[in-house]
This record gives sequence, C-alpha cells and structure tokens, in this order.
Amino acid sequence: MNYRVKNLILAHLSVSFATLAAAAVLGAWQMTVRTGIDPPFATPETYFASVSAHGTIMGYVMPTLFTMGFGYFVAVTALDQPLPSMRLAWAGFWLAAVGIVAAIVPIVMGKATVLYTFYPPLTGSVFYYLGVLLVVVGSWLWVALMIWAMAIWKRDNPGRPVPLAMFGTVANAFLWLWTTGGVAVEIIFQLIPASLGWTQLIDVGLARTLFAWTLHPIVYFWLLPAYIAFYTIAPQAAGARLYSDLMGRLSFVLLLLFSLPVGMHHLFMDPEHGTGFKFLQAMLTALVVLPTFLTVFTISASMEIAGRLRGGKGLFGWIAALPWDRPMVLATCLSFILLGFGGFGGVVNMAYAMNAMIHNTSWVTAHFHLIFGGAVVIMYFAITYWIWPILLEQEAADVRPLRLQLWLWFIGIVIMTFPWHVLGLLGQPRRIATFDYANPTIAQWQPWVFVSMFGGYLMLVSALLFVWNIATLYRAQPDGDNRMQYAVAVYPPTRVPNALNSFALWNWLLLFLMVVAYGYPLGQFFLMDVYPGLVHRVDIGS
Amino acid sequence: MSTDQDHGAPERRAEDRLWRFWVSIAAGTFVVVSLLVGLIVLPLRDEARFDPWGAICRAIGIRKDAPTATGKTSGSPASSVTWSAGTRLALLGASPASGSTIVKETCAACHGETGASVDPQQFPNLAGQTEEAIFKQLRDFQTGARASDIMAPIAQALTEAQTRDVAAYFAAQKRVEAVGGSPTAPANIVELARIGAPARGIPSCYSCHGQSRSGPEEAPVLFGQSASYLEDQLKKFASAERRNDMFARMRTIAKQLSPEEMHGMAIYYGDGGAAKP
Repeated sequence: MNYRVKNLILAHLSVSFATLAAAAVLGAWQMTVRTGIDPPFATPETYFASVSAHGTIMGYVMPTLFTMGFGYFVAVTALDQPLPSMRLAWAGFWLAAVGIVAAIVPIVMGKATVLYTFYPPLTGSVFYYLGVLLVVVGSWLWVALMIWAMAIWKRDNPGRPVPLAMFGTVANAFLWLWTTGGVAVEIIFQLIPASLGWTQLIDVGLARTLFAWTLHPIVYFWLLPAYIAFYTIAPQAAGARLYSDLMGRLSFVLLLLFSLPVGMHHLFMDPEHGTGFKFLQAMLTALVVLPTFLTVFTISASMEIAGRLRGGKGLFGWIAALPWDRPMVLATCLSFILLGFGGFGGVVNMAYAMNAMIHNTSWVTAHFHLIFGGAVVIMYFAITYWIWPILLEQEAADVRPLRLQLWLWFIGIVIMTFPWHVLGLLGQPRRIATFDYANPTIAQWQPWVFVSMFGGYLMLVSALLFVWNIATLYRAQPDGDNRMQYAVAVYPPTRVPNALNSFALWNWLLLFLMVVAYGYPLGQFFLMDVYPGLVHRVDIGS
Repeated sequence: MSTDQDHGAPERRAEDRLWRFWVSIAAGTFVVVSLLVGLIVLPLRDEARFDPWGAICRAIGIRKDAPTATGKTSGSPASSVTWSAGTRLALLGASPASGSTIVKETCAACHGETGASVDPQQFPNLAGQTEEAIFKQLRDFQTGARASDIMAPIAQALTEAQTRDVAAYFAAQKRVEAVGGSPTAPANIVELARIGAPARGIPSCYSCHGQSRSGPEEAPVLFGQSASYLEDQLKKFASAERRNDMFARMRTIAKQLSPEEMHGMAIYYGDGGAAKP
C-alpha cells in the first residue's frame, strides 16, 4: 500500500468497528428490555440512554468513520496518487475522535438521553451537540480532501474519465456536504443556544424540518460505499467485468439528486406543513427507484457475465456457477435480498396513506435496521474483508469464519427485523422503554418481540465475530500481487460526457430542487406567526 | 472544477449544452407536474367550486381560505387558562419564597402551612401538588370558572403573580404520604385506573394522573387526597356541577362511571380517609 495512508485508513476503520461492537452490545440489551424480561440495569432512564448511545454511534459515528476511511482508500488506490494533505486528513480524524468522546460521555452520564434524533423541545447537554458537531466538522475536512483529490487528478489527466470508484466517492462527499447543512443549522442556531439556557423557547416545527433535511439523505450517505462496492469490487470479486460504467455514474448522480429534496416524508404526520409540499417530496422520494433499479440490473448483468464465464448454462445456471465461497460475492447477493425487502417496506413509508398506518411504530425502526443494518453494513463487512489484505499485506488464513460471519449477520437481521415489521403493523409504538405484556390488548406482541430479540443476539455474535476475524485471521502470506484492482467495465470508457465526469451540473440542479422542495416549507416559519415550544432540558431535569 | 483540456472543444461544449438542456427539461417537467397535482389537482378533489388559488393556499397550509366549520360556537370556555409558552415561562419564574408569606397569612388555616390539610375531607392536600394544577384552580376560582363561596373571594384577592408564587410554594413542599393504589383494591377498579375501559371510551386514569404525567398540564396528582374529597369531585363532574375541566374531559369520563366505580376509584386513589401528614 503506497502513499503512507495505511495508518490513516486503519485508524478510521478501527474506531468505526470498535464503536460498532460496543453499540451492538447495547442493541442486544435493548432488544432484551423490550421483551419484558427485565435484564440487569433495566430502567426507562438506562434504556433511553442506551438507545441514544446506540443511535449516535450507529448513525453518526460508525458509518461516517467507515466512509471516510474507505474514501481515503479509494482516493489513493483508484487515482494512484497521494492525498492532497495528510495533515488535513489526520486533523479530520482527531476532530471526529474528540467529538465521539464528547458526545458519548454525556449520554453515559444520563445528561443527553435525547435519542440521537434532534427533535426539540427535548434538549440534552451542550457537550453532546458539540461532540456530534465536531464529528461533522471532521467529516467536512474529508469532503474537502475528496473533492480536492479529484480536481488534482483531473488536472493531471485531462479528458480522461475519473475512475468510477472515485466518482462515486466524490458524489458521496457532495451528498454529505448538502446533507449536513440542515442539522448543522439546527444544532448551531437552535439546539446549542437552547441547551446552554440562552433561549427558553424553540420553534419545534422549524427544527423538525431542518432535521428532516438531514435525516433522509444521511441514509444514502451510509449506502453509497455499498453501491461503490457493488459497481467496482463485486464484479472483480466474481471474476468478471462490470456490465456498464455509465450506469454506475448515472446511478451515483441520481442518488445525489434524489437523496436530498425528499426528507419531508419523515414529516407526513406533522401539522406544520401543508399537503402540497409533502406530495412534491413524496414524488421525488419515489424517484430513488431509478438508481436502485439501474444498479440491481447492472450488477445482476455483471454477475451473469461472471457465472457464464465460469461455465454456467441456461436461464439460471449462471447463478450456481458463481464463486459463492468469496465473501464479497456472497455479501453482494445477501445485500440485494435485504435491499429488496427493505425497499418494499420503504414504499410503504413514502406513501402518505400507508405511512399513516405505520407512523411512529416499530415498522419504522425495523425498516431502517433492515436497510442500513442489513443491506449496507453487510457490505461494510465485505469491503473490509476485501481491502484488509491490501492494508495489512497479509491474507486471511481461513475464509470460512468470514462467510459464517456474513451468514450470521444476514440470518440475524432477517429474524430481528421481520417480526419487528409485524409488530409495527400490530401497532407497537417505537421508543417505548417497557411494555406491560400482562395487558391482554398487547399480550400478542410478546412472542414476536422474543423472536426479534433472538435475531438481535445472532447479530451481536456476528459483530463480535467480525472484530475477531479482522483482528486475528489475517496472518497468511499473500500470494503474489496484492495491489487493489477495481472491476473493469466490459467496455472501459475512454471518454465520458462532462456531465458524468464532474458535479457542477448536478449541484446546480440539486440547488434548484432544494429551493423548490424546501424554500416555502422552511420560509414559512419566518413569514407566519409561530408558536414556539418551551425548551425541556433533560440534563438539568426541567 | 473541470479543467479538461478538451473542455473548450466545440463538440464538447455542444454535448454539455445538450445535457444541460435535457436534464433541465426532465427535472423541470417533473417538478411542475408534481406541483400541479399536489397544489391544485388533489386539493380540488370533491370541491364544488373551481378555485385554484384557494386550493393552493390550503395545500401549503394557509388557513384563511380553508373551509370553515359551519356551526357557530357559543358559550364561554371551561377555563380562561391557556398553556401558552408565556404562561409556562411565567410559572417557571415564580417564587416559592414570596408564596410562603401569602400561604401563612391566607391559606394555612385550612390547607395547612406546608400544604397538609387540616381537614382533608373538605380541603384538599396541596403539598407536592403540581404547580400547574394549583395555578389553574386558583385562576378558575378568580374568574368564576370553578364556583366556590369560600375560595372565590380568597383567590380574587391575589394578583396573578401572587397566584403563581402560591402555586410554586405548595408544589415545592413534600407530598403528604400516600397509601393509595392499594393492591387489595377490586380488580375492576385497578383495571379502570391502569387500562381504562376502551369499550366505554374511558381512558386510563394513569394516562393523565400517572407518574409520567404525560397528559394535560393541569391534571393534578391524585394520590394523597382523601377518598371522600375525590368522590365528591367525581360526582360534581358527573353532574356537571363542576365544569372547569378543559374540553369537558372529566365531565365526559365521570358521567360514564357508576356510583360504585366512583366510590372504588376514590378509595383506590385516596386513602380511605386516613391521610397522615
């Protein structure tokens, strides 16, 4: 591994996975509390502190650090050039590291049990918000470095198409910059003044709208590393080529576009917005099927090429012929299955009428665990298994524990989230610490919760096995060249339109869509009479 | 950011223009069609009159063109207290110390100096009652929303700030030891308190008067009151003799309870008449 970035990437990924393991323990404990069997330390206070820590880590820390680390890896390996500034990259890492500690300590002390979604009037300790803000600021340095690295490469390689992996990474960097805008404004202008006691009143509707701006695209930010792996690693792992490089570029820019002006579907049941803009954003939300179907089609086609090259015959024979023993191939397939089920649940969420049925129930929690915890994080594991030999310069001594871990994760998430969806349909509210299953009205929920908990424990075992795998298994001598090889397209592009080689057009278009989708919904708070709520500070109990 | 060498080549620029044109057309069309449907077509469904401007206003949440209820409201509200941010901020700033002086002069004779009533069957215990509950009742005595020959003149002598201070003082006192919530209470009473009776449209008492107090601000703490006082109030709500409950919540609930249930409920929440300070 060249350009002295090994330690930088390992630092990011190590912190990411260490926090993942801790949050997985919390997650399993929370599932246990919900069954009503009262595990140790179970009080509503500890439950909500645990949910806050689990969500903060899994939502803001783990994926951000992973995406930063993987982004640095792609920038160096795909562009084959050093990072523009190592000092800036390390500064970003340390800002994030300090931020993590600053955010987690108040949660553990019970002074920031605000459940990681920044919905006032509930506000926590100011250190929690400053901590999350530091993580975000650290990631902005990463954004700057990704854009800068691509600009340098384009200057040195005029007219050539930016390697697809890097194009996807920079798409994600722009996406993240747009995404964090909403929550950054909310934290700086609303939450921090409230948490310091400078303001006693807070406009809840405005805060919820700003957070919705962030809350949906953040999911696509988590998702993009998985998509980058689908396009640029999975076909290579299967021993074939990518069916279409252009489809990849198109998918990345479409994901950038349709991740942002859509967040209001989180506010369908909120009274502060009329139906008109809810409808517009619902329509824009639906457009995400375009990049999703492009990707499913392109990757399936790439896999079919691989299967047929390996001698697979007939309509489905190529599937059996794929090299299923390779973790990346296996994970891609499992991820697609989870993405399919998760996407189906997502259609229910984005449809106004159906959303009313599952609003604020366990269905929602189940949905984002299935999509993110399932389809995305299983690809984080596979990516790590793929790049680990390149970082450590040692191969895995045995791939069976790697496959076992992926299967455990897949089975665990299915067992955990499918009953969880059912519970949502039965009306179980989310974010409730304890349920009295002795009550006959809700007694029927309990068996489903128990099954769900079992899935949670399988995932915990899988998470710990993952850490054990990457910590101990990679000690075999590499056989030959271990440089990073990205999948080559069937027709490698020699030149692509500027529109698919840069982001100016898409950023302008996104600005237009954001002004249309959020201009009035945000502007109305400054035009009409508002009725702010009284700040409720959990850290001082008033 | 693009610094492509052939960026300036005429065929490249023509290609860029084509992309810009078609992307703008596609995005613009999609947005315009979605806005037309969302702002005009859907809000106009089932409308007798074609009024696109009114439809747009409704769709973006401007209320002045929204259809208004035809029935006229009449009568006066149950209470003049509103839980606005202003009311709550003012309560936050109330002074228990100033309240203490007023309580000693005015309230102590009946409700006790620390809020432990001298005769709980007639005068409720106020120690540890919530600030909102006491404030609301005092205001209602002042305006006449809650009728009482004893309390009306006493409450009317207080300014609004003094009212808040008194409420803050009692709220800060240690609650009278409660022996309510007895596990030996009849099962139907315990169920009514904890779960309610959904079939009769009666919510659980706990949902507003429970410890989490997630209900209306003014819902008082019930444990620690005397059973006979509680039963008396339930009867007054049931007969609508007492009518200062916002949205007629307690009148609606109480009139559905049988006399036995009211009695059982009062004993469950009260102490069977044996409150000790």
